[in-house]
Amino acid sequence: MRRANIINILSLALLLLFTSCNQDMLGAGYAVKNLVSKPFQAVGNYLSDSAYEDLEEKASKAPIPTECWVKRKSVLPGMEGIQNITDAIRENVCSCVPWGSCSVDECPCSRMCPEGFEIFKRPDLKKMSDLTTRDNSLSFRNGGGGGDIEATQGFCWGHASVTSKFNRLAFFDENAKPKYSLNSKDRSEQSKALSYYKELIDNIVDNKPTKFPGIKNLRELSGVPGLESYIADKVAHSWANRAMSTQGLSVGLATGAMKREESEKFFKVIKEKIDNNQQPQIVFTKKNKMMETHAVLVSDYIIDKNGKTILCIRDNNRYRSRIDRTKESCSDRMVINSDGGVYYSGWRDLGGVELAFNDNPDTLTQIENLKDHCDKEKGCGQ
Amino acid sequence: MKLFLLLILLVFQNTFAFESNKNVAAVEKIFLEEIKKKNSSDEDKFLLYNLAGRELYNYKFYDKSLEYYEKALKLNVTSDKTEAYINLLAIEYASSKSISKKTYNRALDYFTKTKKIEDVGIKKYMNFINTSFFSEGGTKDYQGFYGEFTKQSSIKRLIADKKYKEALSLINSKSVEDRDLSTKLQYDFLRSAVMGSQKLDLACKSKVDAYPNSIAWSIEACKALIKYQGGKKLSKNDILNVEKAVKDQESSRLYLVKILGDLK
Repeated sequence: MRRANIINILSLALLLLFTSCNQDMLGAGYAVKNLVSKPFQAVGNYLSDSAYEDLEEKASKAPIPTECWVKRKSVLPGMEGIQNITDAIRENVCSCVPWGSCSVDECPCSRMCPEGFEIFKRPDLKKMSDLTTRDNSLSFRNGGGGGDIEATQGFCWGHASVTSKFNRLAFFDENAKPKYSLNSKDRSEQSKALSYYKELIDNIVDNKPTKFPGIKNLRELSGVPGLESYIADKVAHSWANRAMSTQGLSVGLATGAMKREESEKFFKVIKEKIDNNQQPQIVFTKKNKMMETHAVLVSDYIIDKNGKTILCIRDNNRYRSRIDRTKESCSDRMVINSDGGVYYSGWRDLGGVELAFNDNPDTLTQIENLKDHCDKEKGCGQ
Repeated sequence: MKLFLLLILLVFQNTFAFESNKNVAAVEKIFLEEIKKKNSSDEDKFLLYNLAGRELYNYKFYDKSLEYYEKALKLNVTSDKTEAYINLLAIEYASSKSISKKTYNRALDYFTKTKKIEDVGIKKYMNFINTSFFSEGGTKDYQGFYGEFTKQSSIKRLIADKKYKEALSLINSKSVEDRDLSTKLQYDFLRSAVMGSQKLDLACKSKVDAYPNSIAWSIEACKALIKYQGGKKLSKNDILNVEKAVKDQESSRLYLVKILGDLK
């Protein structure tokens, strides 16, 4: 990908060199200038986008098996009966996968704490779309509930971003004992517990991998009174950080339908992200409706019998009770329609649709932080 | 051409920049070294500062991003400065949850002088900033991408002015279903203030049922509303307890619980 980009840029330079009458390369200079400063068309992130593409290239060269169990070194003696055998087998194997249960003696660090996109995998997930469940979602929806206008209300971009961060960076362990208990009858301890979990939430928003002892999942955490409103505030603030920037504004103004090539390129980028263990954040505006803009996560994609790609959307406006059903049937769908533009069920024809500008920078930071965290956890990288 | 080559150089170098991390320092170094070279024209420098500001913003290094956008604006060039002015507003909000009139006017001056304010996108954006942060009255646009932010700012202002009926009229009851507890509480508080004690079904009540022993401000506030809707008058102590919980836990919600004092 990166090489392709460079070739494109070099081709552009050569083309400009031969077509421009301007001997001092002003033609090329202006072309670059346009690439760099297009505030209301496509505001690119050259550094982070190409860094992301570089990782993508590396990942395609060195795929890692999805599942691997290795036999433990010690074997427990005295097995009697089926139950004992089953238990013993369980205890005598460990998972040699990203974040698996093996020790460094049993499984190489390169498998347990891999470089790049593999670090997003978790032993309990067969594929990334398994994250699209009510338990792995915020306990409250974003907004919507009325007509077209209401559908754009709320802080969708923040909701998508915060959900994605929790899904990638939070490690819930309901059996671990927290420093302070949220269920304590002692008011002072409960108060300390609220402050303690707020700090952990701050870590997630800052892209730091974090353990949540005593909590089962994201649904439970985000439903706790006191933490719920705190997370809702984070959602609103995250929205503002994205939507109020030039990069955010440019999406709201993209009302014209995309050309087929643009739509296909967008779908390709999203499919590659999903294949690379991500649920990317996308932002779109309704066709011919300035500022009727929404941000969602893409849960998965399917290829229909005609070879057409369908993106399955994880829409934060959905009622929480419908999340699991939406996932199973891929009922919120995005496709390229016959005229080449993008169509989203429920929203109909869309204008501009793009990967959220924060998606690659966040992904790069998260990969680096997850790798550090995993290395420390497993005793790797010493 | 030089700038062009630099962009190619950046594409090659950035992997190093992110992998060896300490992103800011590495990114900054690449830009600074190039900018310092004598042959860079002011136009080149402007584009590089702008690009650095943008990347640093994306990584949430707001102070550094501001520094580069300011450097870009200091240059006497004819390049389009829209991105810098808008992102300076965004940086100020990201850092302080507020926007000053000074920063707003500075951007507005530029857009007016360059006639960019006639661009419908810029106009909408500046109206959004104005209505959300400065304007007291007048028509407000609650639709679309920036609508919810403006609406929430207006509701807060109306509550502070004790215009509860107007504030309630901005909330669609359907949009409260399945939302977070503070959104539900806002609705319950306003309905109680406007309609009085009428045994209203409170949206927040299910949470109190699920977490009866929670000390969270939101539960204390909902309990007070349940008491009020049950036909009982709230004592001074009831109100003080809720206010104390809010002050201790989430003082930004204080505007809301002030309504308790006005429940008749």
